Amino acid sequence: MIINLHRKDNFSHTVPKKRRMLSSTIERKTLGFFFLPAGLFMVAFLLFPLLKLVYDSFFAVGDNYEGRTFIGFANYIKAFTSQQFQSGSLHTLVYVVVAVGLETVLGLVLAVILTNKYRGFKAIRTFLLSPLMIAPLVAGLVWKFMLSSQFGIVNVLLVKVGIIQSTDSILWLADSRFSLLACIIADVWLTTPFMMLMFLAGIQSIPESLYESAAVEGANKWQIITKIILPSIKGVLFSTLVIRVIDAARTFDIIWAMTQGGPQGSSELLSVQIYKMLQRYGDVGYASAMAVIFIIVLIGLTLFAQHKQNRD
Amino acid sequence: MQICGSVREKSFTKLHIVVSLKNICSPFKLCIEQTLKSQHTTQYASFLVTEKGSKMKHKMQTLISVVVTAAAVLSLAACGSSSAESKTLSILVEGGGPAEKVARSNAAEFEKETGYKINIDTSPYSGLYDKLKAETDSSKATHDLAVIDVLWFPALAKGLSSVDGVLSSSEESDLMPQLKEGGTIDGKLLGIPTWTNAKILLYRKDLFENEANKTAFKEQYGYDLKVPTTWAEYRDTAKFFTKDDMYGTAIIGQTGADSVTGWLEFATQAGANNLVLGKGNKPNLGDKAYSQALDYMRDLVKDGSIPADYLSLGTSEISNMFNQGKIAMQLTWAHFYLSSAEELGDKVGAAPMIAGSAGVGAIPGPWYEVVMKNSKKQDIAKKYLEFMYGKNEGYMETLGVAARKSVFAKYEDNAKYAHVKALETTLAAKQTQNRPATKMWTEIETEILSPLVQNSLKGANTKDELSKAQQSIEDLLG
Repeated sequence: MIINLHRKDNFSHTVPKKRRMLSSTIERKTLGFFFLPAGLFMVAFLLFPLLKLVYDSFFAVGDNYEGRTFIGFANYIKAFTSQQFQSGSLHTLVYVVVAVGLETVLGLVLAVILTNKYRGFKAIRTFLLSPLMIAPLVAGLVWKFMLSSQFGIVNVLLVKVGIIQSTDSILWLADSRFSLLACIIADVWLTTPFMMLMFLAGIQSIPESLYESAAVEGANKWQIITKIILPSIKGVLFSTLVIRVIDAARTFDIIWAMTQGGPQGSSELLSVQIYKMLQRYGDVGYASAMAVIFIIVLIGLTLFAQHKQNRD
Repeated sequence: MQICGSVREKSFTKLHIVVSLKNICSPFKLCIEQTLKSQHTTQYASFLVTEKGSKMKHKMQTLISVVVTAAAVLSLAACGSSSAESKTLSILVEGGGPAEKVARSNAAEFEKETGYKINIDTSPYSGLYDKLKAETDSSKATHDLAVIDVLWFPALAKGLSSVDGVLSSSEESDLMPQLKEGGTIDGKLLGIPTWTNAKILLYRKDLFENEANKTAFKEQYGYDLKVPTTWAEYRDTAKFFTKDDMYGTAIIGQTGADSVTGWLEFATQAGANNLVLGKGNKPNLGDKAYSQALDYMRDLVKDGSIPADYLSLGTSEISNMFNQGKIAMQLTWAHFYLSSAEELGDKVGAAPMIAGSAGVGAIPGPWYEVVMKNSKKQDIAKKYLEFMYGKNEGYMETLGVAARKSVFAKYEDNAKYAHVKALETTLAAKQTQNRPATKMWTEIETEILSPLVQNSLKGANTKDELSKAQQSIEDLLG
């Protein structure tokens, strides 16, 4: 950097263009070294653990094994043939599809409603964003209490409205039919504001002239939504969906706080299984194999999404 | 590195990065000094006087500044100030728990005595295990000491120092029963007990003393209403008190360790010995006691004398309900008495654990103070253990439980600590026994036994479930 400053100060007005270009190339190279610490960090804390993860997945390694034995793809075979892994994958899929689907629809509806600048819309928008400020673990605990049949407000309200007979009629967290749904409800509550915020940003970037033209053509509100808003925010919609799908797939805190994956494994996602296998049971090899499969699926999903977006 | 034209320069650059990272845990000053003083710096200086070298001068200066800065940042971030650390003992405890309170209240005295400052780091219950597991797995000790649950010994054992000899034989003989065995792995004592605990019966004294209840109970069941001591009495009383928006009792059905402990307690009362893993580490779930315990729990469910959402209830949820007057009796950890008495005043009473056909039985829940094997301050850490042994009364005052018999004896007649006598009786009972000390326990408990309990409570065939679990454990243990 010193060289370049020196050169610029003294020679830049006399040196030919070619040399000046060379000087700027060198400057960029020098600048590159400033990224060296960050590069080292990336290698140390991202690339190395990732490679280690893949490496470990081919070994029987962890608390339950004496030393480290190469076992090839045995951990992967174990994962694919294990009923637990299959049910974990299915739960993850259901969780992602239902939660993200609901969040998208609700987020879109709220964003469209809040685009209209009626009285107090700013206050309502701020209020609706409040769940975003709550940590997922805390949200999980709050919903755990709200859905309790003993203390919970949800069942009390359902009784008052007349949907259920008594507060024991729906055991949200104790009934294996409802436990995953209960976690999805908490997730929807927590993340819909994020979707709304993204969609709102997209909607606000639509030029006013489009609405004006639509008004001149006599378009109704539904037509404005389907013909102007939705096509205009397609890019935002797509990117937000990809971010949320990946985020939802690795949900851990809410599940752990509300059900710990139970009862009878009915709300156990892959993230919970990997955590338990690694941290609680110390089976590093098997947990690594599951994590590698999980990462491959997520990377595949991202690449597919990018490819699709680029094509569009 | 690419801009360097000669092999010598390449090696220089490489060396500097290695030196910098190697010194990552030494203080900032030392790191810079070593980097600049290295032999290769001299080689580099002589290289610079050559024509080719002078062309590289500025580039290399830039590179040095970047690498040295990176090293400085890394060193600073990773090391902090070593001089401040040398006279500090770092201890990891459960946040908000008694271990934190007792450690804090005695830190100043320890510093005055030894000159060592106690740095108290806290974490929630599960985070505590996760942190220590990471420390033992990586063979790096961020903490010198920790206070841990007995259940974690098998998994953490390789990262803990032996504390044999820290206590004298007379001090050891003052410990409550089974505490030494609980902390001993492969013949080595790995922790100094801080407190022991077990489940006892907490009940609503006012309801049992109510005359109308006494008469109604006698009419219905043909014997006097009294604090239950057996399974049969407990079931009848639970049924009797299930009325007027109140449940007689509750059972833990939540996914995880809590529900399994509850079931194993009934099993030990029914005569199970060497819980789950019998002789030769072979599972013994075929024993009658295990199915009898499940059947008894199912009877409580069938009677409707427990809340319907029992599958989502854990110890703390049940305790909340008891404190809110929604439950008449609960089998819970003895220390919950203090918080219940705070909420319910003299309405709450404490009695020993109930008994099955084999008598009173419970599973102790002791905690221990341990020294991390990779700590560089072994001697002073052990001194701290000795010091804290002398402060054992602090745990009784804070939590209502302790590790020393003498402390228990001092508090057993104190009305404020009405649970102490009940706890002593329960801990001394013949059938009271520890869970098996195996590394695989957490996995067996969560993945096999917890679903077994949940399925059985929901009506599955208990014999089938037990034999399925037996097979799964055998497969897991290989």
